[in-house]
Amino acid sequence: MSIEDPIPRFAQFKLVLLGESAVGKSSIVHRFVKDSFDDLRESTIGAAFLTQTIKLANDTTVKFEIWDTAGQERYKSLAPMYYRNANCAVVVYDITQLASLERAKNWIKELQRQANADITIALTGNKLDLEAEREVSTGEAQQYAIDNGLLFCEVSAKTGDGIRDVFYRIAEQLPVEEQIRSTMSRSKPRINLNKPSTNTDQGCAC
Amino acid sequence: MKRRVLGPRTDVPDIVVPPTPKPQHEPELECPICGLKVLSMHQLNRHLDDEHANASEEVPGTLTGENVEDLTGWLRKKVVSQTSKLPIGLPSKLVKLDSLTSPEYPSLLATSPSPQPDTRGPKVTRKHWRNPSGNDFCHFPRCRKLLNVRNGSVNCRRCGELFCNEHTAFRMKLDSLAEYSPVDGTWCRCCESCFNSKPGYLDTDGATRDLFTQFQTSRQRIVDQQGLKTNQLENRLVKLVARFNEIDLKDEGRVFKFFASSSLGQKRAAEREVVAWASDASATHCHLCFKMFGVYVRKHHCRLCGKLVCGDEMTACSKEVPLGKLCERLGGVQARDPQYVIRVCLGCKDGLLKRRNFIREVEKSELPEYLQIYHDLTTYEKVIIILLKKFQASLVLVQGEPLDSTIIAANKSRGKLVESLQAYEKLAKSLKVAVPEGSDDTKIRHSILQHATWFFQENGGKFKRYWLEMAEVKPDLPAPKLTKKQIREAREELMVYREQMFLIGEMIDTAKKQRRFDEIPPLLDNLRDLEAMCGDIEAKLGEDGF
Repeated sequence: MSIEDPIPRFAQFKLVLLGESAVGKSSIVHRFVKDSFDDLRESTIGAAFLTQTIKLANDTTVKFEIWDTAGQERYKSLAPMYYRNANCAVVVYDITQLASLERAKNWIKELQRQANADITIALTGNKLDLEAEREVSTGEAQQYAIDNGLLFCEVSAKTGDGIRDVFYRIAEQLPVEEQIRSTMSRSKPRINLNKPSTNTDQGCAC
Repeated sequence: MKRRVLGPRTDVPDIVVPPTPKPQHEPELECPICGLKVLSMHQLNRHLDDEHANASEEVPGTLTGENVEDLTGWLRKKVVSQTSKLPIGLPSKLVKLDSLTSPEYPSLLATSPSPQPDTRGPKVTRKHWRNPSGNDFCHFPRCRKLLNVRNGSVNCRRCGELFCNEHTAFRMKLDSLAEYSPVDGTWCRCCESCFNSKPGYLDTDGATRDLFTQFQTSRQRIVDQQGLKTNQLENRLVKLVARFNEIDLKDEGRVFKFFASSSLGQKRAAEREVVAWASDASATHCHLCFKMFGVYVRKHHCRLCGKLVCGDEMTACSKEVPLGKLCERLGGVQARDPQYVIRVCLGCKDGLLKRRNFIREVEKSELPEYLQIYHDLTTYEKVIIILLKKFQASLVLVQGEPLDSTIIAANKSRGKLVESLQAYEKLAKSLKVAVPEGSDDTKIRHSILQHATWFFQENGGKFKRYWLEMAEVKPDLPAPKLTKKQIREAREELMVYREQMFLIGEMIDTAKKQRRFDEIPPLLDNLRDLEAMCGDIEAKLGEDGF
């Protein structure tokens, strides 16, 4: 390895999942992080924390710190703590439940009011595999997303359709370059693995 | 000594030569040294100065220190016995001082530095006095000193509460039932709040004398007179028009219209019938412009009042007005021949049309926006003043006994007050934003705005002061008492946060076990946030926590 080895371009963002209970927030995260799906997932308690890194095209690594909040009413008071300084939010609704879209809209309004002004919001419709029971048309949700300047996807955590897309599209929207620049400017001294050892031969024999 | 002794008189016994002038009628006195009889203290004084000024030199043996003391003691006794009889024939200076204690000047005395209770009035009841328990605090809200020998422990004679010396340094006159009675009460020691609550003491409104009804009655007389005059004129005009219509109707029925000249004559006669014309000889000058009638200034009769006026175009003392125009303005009557002209003088024209014009204008004109705002502002002002009084009363209640009910009431009235003050401010600001239409408007607007600003500052300041006063007494009061529902919700929230803290703790442990150290910092951050939140809620709950 040469000394001119380029410093790996790395950025880290806080992401929060919001939405009504049982729309599949945890399933989406597990599909994204562990690429697994559990038919009988128990409902989340409080908020779960997971991380996942993705590689973008231009040699950039983006790490998501994901806070998967519980959708139940009981844990409503926790949400503000997690979206307060989040860089991006995935607001999930269930395409087979019209009411869940309404709840998602409420979350979006709350985010626009309370969260960071430059937060990236992705409106995500889950359970695409249950196309037959669809209640929310793609057009309606998409129109709402366009009107409010949100990203919009429809995904299926069960089949894995579109899951990675959501996170990649979010990563494209995020101010990756800015963060890399700011970390570079205050970059910590890095350890040079090629440096010759400073240990002298004297001393301890072990 | 029973009488109140004011400054100058207390000095008297301290000096050997009393400077006070003596009353006229006095029993005979005698000099203590030579036994000479004198008529007044003044004479004695003079005698002592003249004859015995250097007595010690003259008779060295007679006036020892002891004798001097005797002399001063005797003088003191005399002065005291004289001053106690003072009321008859008081010298003017003393009368002035004495008037301070008279009922006409109660407040002047009340602020004097060291007044002493006057026992001349009725005995004030002590039944309502609070008995000292040995562990009392001054009842004055901002004092709360422990009452003991040093701080003093004094009952306010009026409210009966216990205060320290400092906070009962006020005097007011009370009757036997310990109620304020400025005329024949007894001077009593009282607390500041009793003193301030004397009727008429802090009433900033001052005396008002409503002269409106008086004005209205005198004004009404004039208005009525003018109304009568207008009615008269209207009646005449209506009568005139009716007569003309009659004549015209007859005329129309005729076959030969060229006899119109006869109808014209009839109309002229009708004009004279409706109102008696003044005789031509009765006036030499126009009664409006005072021009002398002559060859050029012709005499004319006003058809409505019958007086003589000139027909000058310049002064427009009288004009020939088409009947149609008059009827149109008046409304209600219709002339068959609207082109027929009658002469009407300026005074009658004004009298006839002024009222109608005024009513029409009032009906037509809508209040301008800023006046509407002003109207609303005054309504708000009344409300705010009432609310402020209520709020103050509730604060006093809270200070008295800080029960839940009184605190809730105080908070409620505070909320209302804040709301109406905000509404008032908003309304006043809308005045600033509104686009001015003309120079007159801007002036009025400016004045209204100025008034509103003053009112807002005055009452907002009052409100703040009351609030601060209360906060000083009970620093923990401003936090509104939590309702049961709020407590339940806060507890639930606290439970959720604690649960989450536990979960995060577990997550940190797992992350450590699985060597995922990069996950630990955000988790720790979150744990800190959660701790802070828990702390906040616990503080909010206070003793209502778990």
